[in-house]
Amino acid sequence: MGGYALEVKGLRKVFTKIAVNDLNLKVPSGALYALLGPNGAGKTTTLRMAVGLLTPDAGEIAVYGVDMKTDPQAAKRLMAWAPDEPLIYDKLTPMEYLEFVAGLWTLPAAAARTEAELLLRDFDLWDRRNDRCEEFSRGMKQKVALAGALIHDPQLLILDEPLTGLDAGAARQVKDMLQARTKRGATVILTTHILEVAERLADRIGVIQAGQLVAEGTMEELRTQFGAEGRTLEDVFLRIVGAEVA
Amino acid sequence: MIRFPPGSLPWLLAHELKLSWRAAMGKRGAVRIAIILGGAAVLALLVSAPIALSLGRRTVTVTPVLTAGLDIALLVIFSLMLSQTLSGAVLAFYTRGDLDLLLSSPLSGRKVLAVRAIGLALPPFLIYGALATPFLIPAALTGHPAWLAAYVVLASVAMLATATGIGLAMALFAAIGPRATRTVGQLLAALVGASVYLTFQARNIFPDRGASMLRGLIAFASAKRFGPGAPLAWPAEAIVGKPLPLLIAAALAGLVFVALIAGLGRRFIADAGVGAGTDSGPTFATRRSRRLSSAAPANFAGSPFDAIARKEWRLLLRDPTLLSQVLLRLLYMLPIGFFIFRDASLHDATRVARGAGALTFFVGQLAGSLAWIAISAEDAPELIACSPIAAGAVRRAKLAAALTPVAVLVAPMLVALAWLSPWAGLVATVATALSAVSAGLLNLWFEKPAPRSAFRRRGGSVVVSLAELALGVCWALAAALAILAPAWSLAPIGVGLALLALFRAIGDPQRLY
Repeated sequence: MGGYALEVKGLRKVFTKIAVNDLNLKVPSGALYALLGPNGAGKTTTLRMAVGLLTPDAGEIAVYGVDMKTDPQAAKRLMAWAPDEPLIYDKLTPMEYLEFVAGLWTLPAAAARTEAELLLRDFDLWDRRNDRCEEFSRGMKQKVALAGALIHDPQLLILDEPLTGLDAGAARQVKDMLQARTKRGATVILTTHILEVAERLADRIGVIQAGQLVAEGTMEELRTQFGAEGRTLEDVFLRIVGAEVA
Repeated sequence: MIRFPPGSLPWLLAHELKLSWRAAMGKRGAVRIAIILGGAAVLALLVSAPIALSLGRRTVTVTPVLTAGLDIALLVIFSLMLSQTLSGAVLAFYTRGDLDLLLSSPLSGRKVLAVRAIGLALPPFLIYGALATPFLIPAALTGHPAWLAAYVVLASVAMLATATGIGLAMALFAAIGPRATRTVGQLLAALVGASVYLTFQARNIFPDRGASMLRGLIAFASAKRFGPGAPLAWPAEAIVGKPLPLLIAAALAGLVFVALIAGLGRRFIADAGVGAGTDSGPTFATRRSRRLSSAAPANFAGSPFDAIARKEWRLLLRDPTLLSQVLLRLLYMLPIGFFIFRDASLHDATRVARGAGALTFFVGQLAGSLAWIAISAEDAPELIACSPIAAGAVRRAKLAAALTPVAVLVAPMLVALAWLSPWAGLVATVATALSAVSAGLLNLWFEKPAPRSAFRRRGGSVVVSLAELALGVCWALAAALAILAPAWSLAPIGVGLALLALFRAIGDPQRLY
């Protein structure tokens, strides 16, 4: 399954004003892709359309070649979505939550149980596996949600601000996990406002502004393209979006 | 507009009342509120006018029996108010709202508790005050102005109920801890609320359905215990405006209320802090969930349907407010189940028909409560929307999860009834199934998704509640008539089906997945 993990053509979404406007995006399979942009640029709207939460007004979305419009269930089977607000149930324990998510993705029981244990141990939640999530801090809830997103071993993992609310240790765990997943062949797309993270982790970077993809490439390609050799991603990004810097 | 000194009790109270008013009114505009209030006033006038005309200027003699009746009415009102205030007091410990801000400010704990207590006492006083108004105002205008004292008595009862509710909640908090209080407090509130109904039903245990008990009560009331000036007559005398009993009632309620605030203000702040704390070591819930999980390890086997149903059952079982609602409806159903069984064994068709109708109605109410929360309350709609499960399958699983507990609860009653009276058993089974399924369908057709935490303050949809009520009455009538005169049952069945079609047509579900 080579080629592109996510391919978006002519994507458009209008709420009261245009949120995404004729956006084209190709994310290579196996890449860790950072989608950047100023607040309100259309990053989250694009990702929510990609995972099937919003219906585009126009355009096409394909996940590993599976068309989201004609076969959404097959496309959803291949991916996972983790927004900045954890998608969990306070009254369930982490183990019960993973059991529920595994059920939604119809995983075989034995494999699901093994994967759940591995994930909970990886995220240091094993000792709290039978405590209800209502007792957890925001960072712990975020880790439970991430474990849920990973339990079916998605080929495409889409994360919106995955480091929000995490302490330094947990953030490191998540970053390591994302890199490990891409090494195993999975594709990761994430949005973040922490540009140092994107610079260090991402294989490719896309910048969205006013609902359109205005720049795309590896870090080096972006530096060359915008005449910012030797500069940080922050400098390049500010140059791309045309922000005034004091 | 009056401006109170910032930080003072009236200032804080005005702030609290403003928030409560806005929460109660929601996004309704001033015109809509005026229409609602105007409509209520016209309705009250329509009810009160005949009362005013009939009361005229005639003298009303307060007999011992009337005194006993008024005492019982006050006791009933107290129990209903206590149910409301106990539930509210328990929630007050856990609802953060602006409590963090208040607790971190230099305001005293007593002031915060006083405002919360007044906030708890006010709604029941307003409800029962409004209900009494069509009787009290005409009475006052037609020669009985002293009866307006009933408002003072109602306020006193509301204060006593609030003090008792807060005291009970804090006692539970101290005795069994914050987590258990959340559940036990709500269940206790449900029990208190149903106590009047259960007491009324208890008369049916007697072979003569309580006739002799009623005669005994009247004889007891006719004795001197309820005569003028007797302590048992004081509450009733306060209602009709006798100065000394009225003064005693108001003073007693005020004293208890103020003593509670003065004595427990600091404790309330500490309890509220603990109630909100979630990371303070192993709690009751933690220990319990560990016990539960060791007994029932996570079950990864099964279809998506099983996973959704299991998740819904777990969440239903862990929702204290919902549990209290379910318990309340069960308490209404159980005596009916018992008496229908007894009446069937006595071959009393009329009473069996009445019982089957009542059972059908309450099954619909119970199914409606569970379906509403299982279908519309969803904390992670995006998770479900992103999963490879068709939305229709999710809804079917949620509906099944809501209706299964109802079936389990009502099945023993139906089996017992069918054993004694096969036809009545069959009719009741079909009618309760219709009632439960139609309540579930209504909640699908009027789905309004929201996080679970929003449901406590949001309440149910008025349209769905009225629709459940109307359909419940149809199926209940159909059940009763099918047992007594089957041909006549076609009429309520026809109306019920027509109503279902109508609600299906006007249903406007908001789908998140």
